[in-house]
Amino acid sequence: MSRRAKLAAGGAAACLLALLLAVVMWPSANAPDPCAADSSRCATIAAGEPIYLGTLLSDTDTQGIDALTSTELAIDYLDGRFDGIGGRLLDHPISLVSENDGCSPEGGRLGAERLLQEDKLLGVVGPTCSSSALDAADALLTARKTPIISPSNSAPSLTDAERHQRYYFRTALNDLLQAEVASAFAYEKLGGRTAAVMFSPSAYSSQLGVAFGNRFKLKGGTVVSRSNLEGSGGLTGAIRAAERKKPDVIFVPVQMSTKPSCADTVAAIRASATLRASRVIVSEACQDRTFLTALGKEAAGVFASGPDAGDTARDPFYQSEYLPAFKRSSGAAPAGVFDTNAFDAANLIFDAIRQAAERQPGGGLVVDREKMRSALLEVKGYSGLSGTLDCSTTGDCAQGGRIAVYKAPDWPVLNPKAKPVFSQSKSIVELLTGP
Amino acid sequence: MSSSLSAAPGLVILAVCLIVAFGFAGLVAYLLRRYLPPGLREPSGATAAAYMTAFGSLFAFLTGFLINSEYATLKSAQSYVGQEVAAATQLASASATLPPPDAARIQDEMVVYLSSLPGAEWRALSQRRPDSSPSGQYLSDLQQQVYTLSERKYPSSAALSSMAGGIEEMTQARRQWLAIAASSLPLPLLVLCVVAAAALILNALVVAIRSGSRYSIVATGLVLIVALDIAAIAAITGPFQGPFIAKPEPIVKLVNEIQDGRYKPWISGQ
Repeated sequence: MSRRAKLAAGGAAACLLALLLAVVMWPSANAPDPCAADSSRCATIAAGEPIYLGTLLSDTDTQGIDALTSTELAIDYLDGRFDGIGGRLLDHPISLVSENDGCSPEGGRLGAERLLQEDKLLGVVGPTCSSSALDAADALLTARKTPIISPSNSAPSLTDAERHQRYYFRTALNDLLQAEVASAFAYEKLGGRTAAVMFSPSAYSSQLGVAFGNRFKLKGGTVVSRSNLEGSGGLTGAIRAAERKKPDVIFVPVQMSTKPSCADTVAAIRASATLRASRVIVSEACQDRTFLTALGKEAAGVFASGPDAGDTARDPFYQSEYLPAFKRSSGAAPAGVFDTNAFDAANLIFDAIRQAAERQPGGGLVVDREKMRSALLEVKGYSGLSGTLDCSTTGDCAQGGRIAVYKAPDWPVLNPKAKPVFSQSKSIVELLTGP
Repeated sequence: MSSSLSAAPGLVILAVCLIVAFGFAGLVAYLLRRYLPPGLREPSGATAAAYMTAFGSLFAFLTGFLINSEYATLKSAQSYVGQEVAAATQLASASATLPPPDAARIQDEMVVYLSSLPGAEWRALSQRRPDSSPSGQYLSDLQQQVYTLSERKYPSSAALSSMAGGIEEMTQARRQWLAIAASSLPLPLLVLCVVAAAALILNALVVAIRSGSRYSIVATGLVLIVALDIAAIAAITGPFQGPFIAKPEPIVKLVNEIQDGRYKPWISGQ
C-alpha cells in the first residue's frame, strides 16, 4: 500500500471514529439532565418512601377546615374508595404536612417556611386567605420551585401578569368575576344606585371591595363610601360613614375570621335604624354556616355572592360519593363553599406528579417540579368538582364560571338545593377585554 | 432440554447446533472409515445415494412442518399481544369519560399491569412459571377497579360497558398467551426430525466416502443445513423465550401514550 493510500485509509478511519463518537455523545450533549444541573428542582423518592404533600390552610376559618378535609379525602380516594384509608400514588403513600396560614402575610410566610423544611415537598394545597399568599407563601414556594394551588384565594392581584409568582395556581374563581356579578345584582336586580363598601385591609377584602366599586361605577352607580373596618374609625366609623350617605346597597367583602368579622359588621349594620333600608351583600368568604348561626333572625334577607353551587350539587359523583364521605369524615356537610376546590387542587397536584415523575428501577421516583408546573399549565378542560378548570400562565385555573347570589337563610351551606336569586356566567377574558 | 436450548440467545443456539451436527458428522465419518471395509464402500455408497432423496425429503418435510407450526404459534402470540393492546386502548379511552381522579387511577393501574408484561410476565413464561409473574395480580387489581366503578351511579352506561368489554378482552388475550406459553413442541415430531437429520447425515457421509473428497464439500454443506434447520426450530420455539419472541413494542407504545396523558382529556397538546 502506498503512503498516500495509507494516509487516506487512516483519515477515513479517523473520520468514521469521530462520526461514531458524535453519534454516541449527541443525546447527552443535547439533553443535559435538568436535575443534575439544579438539584433543588427535583425530588428523589426512594421505593416505599412517602410523597410529601403540604397544606397551608387556616385552622380557624371554616373554609380552611373544609379544605383540609377535602385534601384528606383526595388522598383517601387515590385507591378509588372513600374508606378512610389513604391511597397510594405511583405506589407511594402520601404524607400530608399541614401548617396554618394564619390568614395573614406573616402566617403565610411562617407556614411556607415550615413546609419547606421538608426537602421533598412536591406541592401545597393552600393558602386559605389571599393575604397569606400575596408576596408571602406564593413567593417563598415559588423560590423553591414548589407548586402551590390555592382552593380559596380570589384576590385579583395574585394572578395579575405583572406580579404573578410562577408556581402559584388557584382553583378558586378570580374576584373580578364575583365583583362583576355582585355589582350587576346590586345595580340591575336591586335597582341600587348608591353603594357603600366596608372592607378589611386584607388583600382579599380590599381588592374585592375595589373591584366591586369599579364594576358598580361602570354600570352607572356611585360608591358613596369606602370604609376600612380596621382603620382609625373602626367598625363604628364605617357605620357612621354609611349612615351619613344612606346607600341603597352595602357590600361587605369580609371574612369570618377577621376582627371585626363579617358577622360583626352585618350585625352592626342591622342594628342601625338609619341603614335598615339598605340591602346588604356579603361575599363568599362570609357564606358560612357560622355567620347564619351568629346572626340568627337578623341574617334573614342578607345576600351572599359566591360560586354557584348548583352545578356541583347536581354532580352525581359529588352527590353519591364525595358528599357522604365528607359528612362521614367531618361529621357535617361542608360549612363553606371552597371544599370542592381543595379536592380539585389536590387532584391536580397528584396528576402533575404523575406526569412529571420518572419511574426508577426498583420502584423509586424522581420528580421534576418544573415539569409539574408545565403539567399544570397543560390542564385544559379538567372536569373538576368545582367546575371546569383550565390553568393559565398567570395561575388562574378557574377561567370562568357561574357566580350566584343567594338570599339568607336559603344559602347553599344550609340547603344544598338552595336556589339563587341571581346568577350569571362570566369569564376572566370577557371581563378583561370588555368595558 | 429443548426448552432450555430454545430460551438461549440466538448465537448460542446456532453454536450448539453446529457443534452437535458437526460433532456427530465427525464421529460418524471416523466410525465409517474405521469399520466400513473398503470392499463394502462402493455398494453401500450406491444404496445410500438411492436413499438420499427420501431422507432429504423426510427431513425437509419435518423441519418445514415444525418451523411453520412454531412460526404460526409466534404469530398467534403476537396477535394476542395486539388484541391485548387494542382492548387496553378501549379501556383507556373509556376511562377518559370518568371524573379525573377515577380516570387517572384506572390509567395508573393500567400502566402498572402493561409495564409488567414485557418484563416480568415474559420472563416468567420463558421459565414456564407463569404463577411467578405479578401481572396476574395487577390485572386482577385493574378488574376490581373497573367492577367497583360499575356498581356506582355516576359513570355513564356506555363508558361502563366499554370498560367492561375492554377488561374482559384483556383477560381473554392474557389467558390465550398463557395457554400458548404452556404448549410445547410436539416431542415425537421433534424426535423424528432429529432421527431424520441423523439418518441424512449418515447417508451423506456414506456417499461421501464412496465418492471421495470432492463430495465431502457437499456433505459438509448438508450438515451445515441440518444444523441451521435444527437451530431455526429451537430458536423459533416458544413465543416468549429465545431470539424470536412476541414483540412487546405495541405494549410499550401504549404505556408511553398513557403516561404522556394521551387518554386524559384535560391535558392539552395530546
